[in-house]
Amino acid sequence: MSGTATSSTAMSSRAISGGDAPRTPSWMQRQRARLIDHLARRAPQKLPIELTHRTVYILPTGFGMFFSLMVFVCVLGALNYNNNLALMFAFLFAVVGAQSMLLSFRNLLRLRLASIQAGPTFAGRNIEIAYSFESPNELPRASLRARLDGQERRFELTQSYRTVLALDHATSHRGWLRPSALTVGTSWPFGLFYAWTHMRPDQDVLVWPRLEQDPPALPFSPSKKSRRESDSGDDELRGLRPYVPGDAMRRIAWKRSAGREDFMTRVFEAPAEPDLVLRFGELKHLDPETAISRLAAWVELAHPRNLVFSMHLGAQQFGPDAGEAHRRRCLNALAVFQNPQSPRP
Amino acid sequence: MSALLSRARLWQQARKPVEPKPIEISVRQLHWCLFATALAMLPWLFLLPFEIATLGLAILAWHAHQTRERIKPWPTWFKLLVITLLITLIVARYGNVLGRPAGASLLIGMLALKATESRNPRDGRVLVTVNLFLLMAMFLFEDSLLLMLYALAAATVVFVAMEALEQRAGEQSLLFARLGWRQVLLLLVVSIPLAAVLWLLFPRLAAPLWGTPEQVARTGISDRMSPGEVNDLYVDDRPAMRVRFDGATPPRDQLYFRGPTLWFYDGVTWTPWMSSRVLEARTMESRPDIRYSLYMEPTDRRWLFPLERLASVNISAFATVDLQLLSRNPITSSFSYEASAQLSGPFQPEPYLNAQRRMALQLPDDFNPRARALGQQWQQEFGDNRPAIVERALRMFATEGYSYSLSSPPLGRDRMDDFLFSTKIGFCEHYSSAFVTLMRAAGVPARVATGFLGGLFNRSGQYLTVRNSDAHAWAEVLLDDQWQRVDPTAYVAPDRINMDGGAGLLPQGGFWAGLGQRWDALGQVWREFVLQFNAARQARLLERFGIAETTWQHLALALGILGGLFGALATWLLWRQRISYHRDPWLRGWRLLRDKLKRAGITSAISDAPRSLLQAVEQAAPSLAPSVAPLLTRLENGVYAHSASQEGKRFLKDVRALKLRAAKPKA
Repeated sequence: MSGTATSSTAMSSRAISGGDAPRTPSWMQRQRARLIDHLARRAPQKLPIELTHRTVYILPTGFGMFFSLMVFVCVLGALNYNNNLALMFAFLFAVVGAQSMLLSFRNLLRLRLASIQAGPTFAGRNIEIAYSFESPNELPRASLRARLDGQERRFELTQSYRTVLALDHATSHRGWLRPSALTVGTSWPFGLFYAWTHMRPDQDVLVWPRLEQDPPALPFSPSKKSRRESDSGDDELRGLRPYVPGDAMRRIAWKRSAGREDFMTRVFEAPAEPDLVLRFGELKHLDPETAISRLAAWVELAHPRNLVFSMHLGAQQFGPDAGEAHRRRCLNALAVFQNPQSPRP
Repeated sequence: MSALLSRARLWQQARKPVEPKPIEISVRQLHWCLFATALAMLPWLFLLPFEIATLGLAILAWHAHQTRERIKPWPTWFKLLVITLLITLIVARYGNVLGRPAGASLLIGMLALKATESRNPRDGRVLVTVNLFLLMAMFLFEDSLLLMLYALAAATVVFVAMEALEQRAGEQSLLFARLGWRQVLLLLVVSIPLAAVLWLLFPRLAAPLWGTPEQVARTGISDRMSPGEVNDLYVDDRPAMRVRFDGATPPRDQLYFRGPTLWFYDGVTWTPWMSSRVLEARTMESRPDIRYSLYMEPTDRRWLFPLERLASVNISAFATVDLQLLSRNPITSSFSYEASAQLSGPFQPEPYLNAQRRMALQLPDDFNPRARALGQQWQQEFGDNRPAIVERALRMFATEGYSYSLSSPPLGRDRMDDFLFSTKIGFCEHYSSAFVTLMRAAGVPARVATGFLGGLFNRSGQYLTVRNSDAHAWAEVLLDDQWQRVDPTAYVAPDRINMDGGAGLLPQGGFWAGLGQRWDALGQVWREFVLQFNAARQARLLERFGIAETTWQHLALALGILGGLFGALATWLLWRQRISYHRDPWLRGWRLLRDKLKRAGITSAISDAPRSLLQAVEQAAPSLAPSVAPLLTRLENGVYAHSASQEGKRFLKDVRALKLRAAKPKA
């Protein structure tokens, strides 16, 4: 049901963007797209990815063509004037140029993508993906270029033969995102050949829902017994709960934590605060994506104010709770809730 | 209205000054490119008229100075001014812009200008590619051993600049600057054998594909002789050719190397006989007395200067009726051939004798009246006794106060009269010219022959060096329907011809003279084995490997096999070689030690601590531990204590000396 709703949204947005008939791509464009698809659409690889001779492509660059034309003219001229020294140098240039292909190739071969890390971000913003590269054979690698989603960065693997490269990737939808293929290339040492590879690590990154612009105020419900987690000294201590990352240091009950495996966090209670429950069911009048955007925006409103809130998503309930961990749980759930595009966990 | 507005906007856009492209090249990259360009331009100072290369280098120097702060483009009018100046210079010097030297000049000037507007790595790449072309083109002008060594060094710098262009713009990666140097050097060294194989076996062209180059002003024997005018040739000590004889070197008075034959005298200048008949091939059927190989420096002319008289030659060339030997094309680079000569014995009957006789009696009517009168007087005196007339003239030179000098006084309108009857001082040009004038006046057919005489014997190389200053002119007279050589200079300055047998061929002693001879001998080896390599030698090389008749298929096959072999070798060398960029001796030693241990069967990661490696060694191969342990302890102390670099170097030395027997690790 929700699936149809999503598709209808897509339909409507398409209707807005272009009223005229869809343009058919030219033959060249199609072939180009096919080639790129063919090269990039290899099966996703499991991390760590180590480049082999099957995954590294190499072609001469425009400069390589120009250089070989120069060498050809040199050979022809030397032969014509029957000049042995000129011929020897022309051949030397040719051999050096050809051998540089090997160095370009080796500069990529056995390059290893060890891991990927991505901090979640909201849809519509760029997600920063950190790629960890290694040179397992301890070969220094100069002047590598990584291209992701249209942006290019240069890097090299030298001192410790490992580096972390952070690249931005555009996001449009919430849910699990498969980043587009990362292209790693090099034209070192002379720029005569370009060796490259496409890396499609078998790993998705999570994108939180798009935040609603100017959401309505938080839907406090005053009737219920309200409480709020607080760390202010005036508040009444309610009890203890296990530590979750993000809890303030001063809220940790150090004495009670001693002798336990994990830390305990003190939970305070401030009386006479309205209850905050965020329900997906109460936003039925909105289209589901908008509703999810609004819920995400509310979470982002409540979190900085350290409010205790709970969130109901269909059958799932989160909280009542507060803090960074709770926020992440909520946003993660919102990212994948009723999302036909990313059924993956 | 709106159309008008949009047009106005367009106009405004067009008027807006064009924003210069952003600068993407770093100062370091630019300096590498400028350095490489300067190196490629430097030799042209000596190969071309110096002003062109000077202009180019000046532009480069100025630009390099400018970029210390930032890269400033030149205004267009200034660029146009420089281009105009350049083209004016070239046209003034050569009269065109497309010939070989003019083209090179233009290329150099444009390259310097291109350097000033290099704003991104792409411009830099154009620059370095043209640099390589310039380095190659140098050899079309000169091919000496020194120049080759220079070009090799300059090419290395060009490739380093190319590598620098691949580095991240704006970032000064010292690490890879160092790596770049070593990587490029390794690449060049590894490439040389394969390039040599290609060079040895690549099929050579039998005939040039396009026009042979035009003449460059070079000092050398020409087809013009103007006695009484200054000729730099006789004071030029540069070698013109080298001759290696099979067996003993003939005596000096037999060492006449034949160049142009001059027939026609207009009172000032002797010129050849411009007749197609002269160029007809002449059959040579004689019995050779001596065989030799001759290595010529480029002359840009066609004479091959064989030893008189030519019996046979191993290249395809024109032998003319008047005994010249001409190559098919001007000799623009070093050239060699083998030939044999007949030093004595009867000559063949002369072809076209009547025409030759008629031409050999020509004299300008309105010049040299006294010389002509003297000749006619001799004709009346001796009648048909031609040998007597020849003898009379020679006796005159020997006895009537003539002297030999390269610096002769100036001569008036009737040059031969002035020389014969007043100044009486001159050198071979004067004597041969005067002698032939007298002979023709006396009715004896005669002509002037030019070429080289003698030379300097190089004992370290066992060959004869003939210099430009050995250029000589002599005469030939037609006696009994045979041309006979008469050298009037010998009767004035016998030293010039004889110099006491072989002793004259030997140089004066002294350390520097000996050293010069050795260097010349080294150059001769270079010429014989490298510069003179050609299709014939290629065939001879393959003959040794059992290929009797070389076809291009043979060459292709050999090229495939040997090229593949050497290519694989180069690839293997390049592949296994890892350039280490560590400068710190401790790290280099650490790396080396780990490599050695790896070969002994103990692998480790770069991030391992020395101590954990020691544990691994003790576990896997206890026998190695005693030799490795002290080194690892020293490393640990050295790295963490920041000890003096001397100690690090000692550590590296000890690691280098360490020998580990491959120990089978315990299963």
